[in-house]
Amino acid sequence: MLLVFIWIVVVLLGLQLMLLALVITSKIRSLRREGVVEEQIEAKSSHFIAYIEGTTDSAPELDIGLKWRNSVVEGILDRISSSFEEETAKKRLSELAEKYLSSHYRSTLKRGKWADRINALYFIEDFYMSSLREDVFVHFQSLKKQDEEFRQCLLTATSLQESRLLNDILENESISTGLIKEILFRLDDTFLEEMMRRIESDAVTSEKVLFAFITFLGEQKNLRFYPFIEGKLFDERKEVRLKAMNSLSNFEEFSNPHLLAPFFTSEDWEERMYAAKIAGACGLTQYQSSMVELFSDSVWWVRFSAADNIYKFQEGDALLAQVSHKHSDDYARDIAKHMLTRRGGRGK
Amino acid sequence: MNDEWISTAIELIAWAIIVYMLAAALIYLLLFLVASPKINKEKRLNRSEQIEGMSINKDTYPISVLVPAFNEEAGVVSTVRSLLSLNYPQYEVIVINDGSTDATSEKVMSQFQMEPIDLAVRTYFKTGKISRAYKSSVHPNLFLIEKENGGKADALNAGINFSQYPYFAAIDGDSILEQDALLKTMKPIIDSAGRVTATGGTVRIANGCRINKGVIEQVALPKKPLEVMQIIEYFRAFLIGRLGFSRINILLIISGAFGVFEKSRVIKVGGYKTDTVGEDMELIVRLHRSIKDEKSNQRIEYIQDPVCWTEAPSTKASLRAQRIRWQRGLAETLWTHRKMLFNPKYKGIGLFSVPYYIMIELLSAVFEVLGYFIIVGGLAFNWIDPEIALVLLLVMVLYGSLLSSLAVLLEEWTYHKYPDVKSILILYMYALTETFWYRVLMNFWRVQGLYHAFKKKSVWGNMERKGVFSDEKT
Repeated sequence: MLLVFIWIVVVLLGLQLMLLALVITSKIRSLRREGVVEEQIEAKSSHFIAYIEGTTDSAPELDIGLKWRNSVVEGILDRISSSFEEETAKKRLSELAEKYLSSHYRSTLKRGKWADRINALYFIEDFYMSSLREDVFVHFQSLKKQDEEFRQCLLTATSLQESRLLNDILENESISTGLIKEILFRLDDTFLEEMMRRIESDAVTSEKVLFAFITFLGEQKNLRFYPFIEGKLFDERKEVRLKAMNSLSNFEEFSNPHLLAPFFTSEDWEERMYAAKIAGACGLTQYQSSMVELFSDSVWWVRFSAADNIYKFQEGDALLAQVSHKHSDDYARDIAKHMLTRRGGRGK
Repeated sequence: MNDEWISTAIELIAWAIIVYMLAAALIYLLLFLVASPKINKEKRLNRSEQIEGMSINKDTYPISVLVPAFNEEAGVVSTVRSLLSLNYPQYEVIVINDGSTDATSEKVMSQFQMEPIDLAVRTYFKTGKISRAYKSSVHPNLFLIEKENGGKADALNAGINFSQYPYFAAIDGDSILEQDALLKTMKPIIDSAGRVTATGGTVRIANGCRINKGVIEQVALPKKPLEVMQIIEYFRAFLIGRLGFSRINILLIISGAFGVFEKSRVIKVGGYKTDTVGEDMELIVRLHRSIKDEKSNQRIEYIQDPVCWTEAPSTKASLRAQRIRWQRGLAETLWTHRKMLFNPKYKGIGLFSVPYYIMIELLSAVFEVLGYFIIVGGLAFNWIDPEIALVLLLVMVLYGSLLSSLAVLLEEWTYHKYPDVKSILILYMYALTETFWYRVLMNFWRVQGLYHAFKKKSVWGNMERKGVFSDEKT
């Protein structure tokens, strides 16, 4: 019996020592590899930057083996990609990515492991590699599971303005509102108008899409779609109204202030809360007294919103100070005092 | 005849311990097998690209970061500084000074230019009296609350009352977060559109690392064997155990050092329980319980990325106090929720997690300590056949040292946070020694913890912080 256990421990320890040897060998290799790649990135970055900035017209050449090349180019472009805003620079960056990385990413999408495929999708999007649009679309169609790969593939495809995915997005009930918004963020106005047209003609039934669309337009302050959102203020569905109100508060301007009046006395506390939010965000001082009334609302969130947003008015400090001293309601005085001190008074 | 009977009884106990430990080792391996496909699949994923868009995404919910602090003068400034440099679109940091008797408050006040503010907070829970609140004049998202001492749970509840965002992160005053920690930890919540109600990430030990302005600059090993062994212990707990539990949604612990919670769910279950020393685990069990009672599809998830670095006790006395406290907390939680044991209503939690925590995490120390007596008695006084005693010793090596050394290999296979070969070899060698000293110490302290739980005796001890975060380069 003892011998059996001795053997078990010895065999397991032996196996582990073999694994340890493997792990150590692989660590030594990866440290060496990282060192070489880092050295090359340091050495070649300036060539890439010069080409992208247009100070030279000859694309940088890499005299290193294929084994390191992809990692070096990927590393350089990844580090510098966020520093260029101009269209010509971005175009040049994409050119370099296409030149050095497109065949690598194409084969990764076909034959790579799960994590490598996703990494490739991240970079195809970051470097805006439009030559891979078809490959990304084909890859998307082959996906069975709605996991990180599905999510990223959808985002990469839409960032490359792949129009054939619009139906998938509009009809797939399982895509979350957050993901739809991320998709919308990547689409240009032509697609957004097509989406609005479908929503208005009731071709889109998914509430998630509608909510995401309304919220997204507000977050982007996309004035072209302002009338569409304003129109949703009087939708019969409460959730749609609330989304529209939240969205409108992001625009920081309100074209028809009188539309807001009924919401200050709404039966739904969320509408009262958003009314205060819009009034504050859009500087609708005509609603000052309505907001002061909300300081003694029965719901804490409404009181908080009223105090938080009245602060945004030019006379906000003075109004809060007045409420904190003179209001007959304890709650109103407390919230005003809290807002004044928590936010800090502004020097006039 | 009598001696023979005693000897047979001891032999039977020895065999029972052998079977128990082999079964426990097998469960560990099974948990690892459950977790390993995901670890393997995701280990090459580019994590920074994965969260790149989140920092500008408006759906990245704002978070209140709560830092309960009791006598944390050595590390609190670094902790706060690291929190203020987090990569996250909208968050507030709330330090809750829980009646410290040292200069915790003064350090925060002078370092961050705190100014008094008036309070008008929602009171979700009753807590110890809050005497003052302050806001930083240089960092508009930093607050300090002064309250009378009521323990960590009470401080966290006060922080929840004060917080204004829909999610909160609880972090210990002696821990620091990696820059992207909040983004990584919030990702499952955002991706699931709120279906994930709480998340936690892997915690690592910062002793030995080079830290500058609240940021880990270089990961390195500490000199003291006691600290090195705790690093290995954390590998084992986080890499082998928790991922497996999380995969099947039966995770019962999110480390008190760092966790993110949906505020409304925590409020619904009544906040942190103030009369236990294991408030972190107790809250998770209560959350699970409420999710199952409501038949909700929400879940609690653990992310495998190392996101939080904490200071481990560096002396025997402080480590002893910590382990006694942990064991007592575990016992109290399991006792509080004993009705979940083998209750099919709670599915995997009742049928697997709770029994696992009772049999393995709570009672293994008792079995192992009993095993030590049998080995010593067997070899020195011939109570039992020495061969059985040696088998028992070998099984302990298997369960202790070899599982821990496997965890070291796993760390290098997955996250390879330690930058040189030497560190891996040192960790591996230390892991092999675990059974012969570190585990013995832990087991005796854990048994003491059980005794304290039974007697309801509090031992908080003194953490004797070196302040690994305050030994900074400037």
